[in-house]
Amino acid sequence: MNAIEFEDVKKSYGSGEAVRGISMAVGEGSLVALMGASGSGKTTMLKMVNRLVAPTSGKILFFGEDTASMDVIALRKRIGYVLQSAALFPHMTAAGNISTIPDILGWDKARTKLRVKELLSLMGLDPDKFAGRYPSQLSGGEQQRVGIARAMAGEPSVLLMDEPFGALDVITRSRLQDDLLSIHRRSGTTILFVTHDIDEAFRMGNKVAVMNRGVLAQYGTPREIVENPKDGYVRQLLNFLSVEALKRAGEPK
Amino acid sequence: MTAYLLHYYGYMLRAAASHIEMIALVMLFAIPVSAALSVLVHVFRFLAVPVITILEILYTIPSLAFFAILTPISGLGVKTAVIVLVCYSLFFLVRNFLAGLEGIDPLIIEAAQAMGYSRAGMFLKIELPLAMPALIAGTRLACMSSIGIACIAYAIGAEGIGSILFEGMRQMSYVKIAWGVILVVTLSVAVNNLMAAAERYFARRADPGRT
Ligand SMILES: Nc1ncnc2c1ncn2[C@@H]1O[C@H](COP(=O)(O)OP(=O)(O)OP(=O)(O)O)[C@@H](O)[C@H]1O
Ligand SMILES: [Mg+2]
Repeated sequence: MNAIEFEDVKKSYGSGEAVRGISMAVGEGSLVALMGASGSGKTTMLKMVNRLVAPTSGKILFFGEDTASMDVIALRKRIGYVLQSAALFPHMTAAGNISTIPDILGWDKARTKLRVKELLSLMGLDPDKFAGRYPSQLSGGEQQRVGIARAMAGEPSVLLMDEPFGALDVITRSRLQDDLLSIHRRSGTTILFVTHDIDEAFRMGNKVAVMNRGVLAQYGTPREIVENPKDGYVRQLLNFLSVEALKRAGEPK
Repeated sequence: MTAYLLHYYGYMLRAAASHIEMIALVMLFAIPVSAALSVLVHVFRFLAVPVITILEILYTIPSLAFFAILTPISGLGVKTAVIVLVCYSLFFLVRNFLAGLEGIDPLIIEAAQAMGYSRAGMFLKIELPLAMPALIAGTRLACMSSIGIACIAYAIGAEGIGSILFEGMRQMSYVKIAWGVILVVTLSVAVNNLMAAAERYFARRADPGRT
């Protein structure tokens, strides 16, 4: 079954076309990396899934159901969303931020507390030190990690992540990439992961979707893309792929 | 000066008390009404222009003229004064409350929406705490303006510190005028400081990490 299906989805803002007729399916339990240059429409794609943005035309199916006819709150409760900027709630502590979705879902206090601790540790943030801190007492990277924990707290069936590792140093970034991969393998959560870093896209994605100015230039496994780049844009991109990532892409996953 | 104080302190206290009572009554009506109006406008955006325009027009009516217009309808006395002061206060309160709600970082609103908050849940848990400092700032302005205009309301028989000031002017008594001024300024400063403290408190609550 597909967790998400885009069917000829278009989105225009006034006269500008951000997404120009994209069809692609994200299989349940897969991790799809959505990559493309700045302004290519990646964030717009994510926001159409949780209906923060309505497509101009086309359909988006969530586990086979047309999202347009779903109850928007019920839909959003099943989707975790990590914003490009952390966008934490400034009046709540890190723990408070992470508890928001469990609270909305009506979890009991003990379960929420446990989950908060577990997620903070998972993000490499010592719960004793960070749980009580307010967003403005956290560094950019720490905020971003709390944002990721917040999105995962309710154990959503789909996780939308918009450049979640953008503000992190290479070491933390690489560690969190590994952690996300192992969380993904363990939990079976479907992840749609936006990045503009080709190495990250090829490292993380079971499949990689390359966007170019609102169009899907290619969609396939890293191996398919490396072995058979579809057009000049993808070929040009591959020039920037590191040797290790290239080698890894060649091996079957 | 002191002789007057010793002789009339009871009268002065009563005048100040009625003044405070009038302002409290005004806020008692103005705050809930403005909160309801602001929420309505915030949810139904098309109401913004008509509501703000009406409040602006009311606010531009000079106080004495406003008292005069209402007197045939609601009579002389505190009732008319309170109605006028509520109308003026709504302008400050609604404008500030809306500015507070609209001033929240759109990304924070987006994050809250994406989590699946209901409209009411989002308002109570996210928007209200973040807009609270602006609401208090509006209340402060409304109080300040009301304290001043309430003095003029003596012209239609609403007792307060205005009573002392008007008597002073009629009798050309500098002592009375001076005491009236001292009373009203003290009240203004006290309320202003109180509200400023409340504003700081809620600003801290809206972003405790910053302070
Ligand atoms: N609310 C909006 N109103 C008008 N134009 C918009 C709006 N949101 C996005 N756009 C435009 O749509 C296009 C795609 O934007 P989008 O945010 O999806 O890009 P992106 O791929 O996420 O870019 P980045 O990597 O910089 O985040 C851009 O040209 C952008 O200017
Ligand atoms: Mg983006």
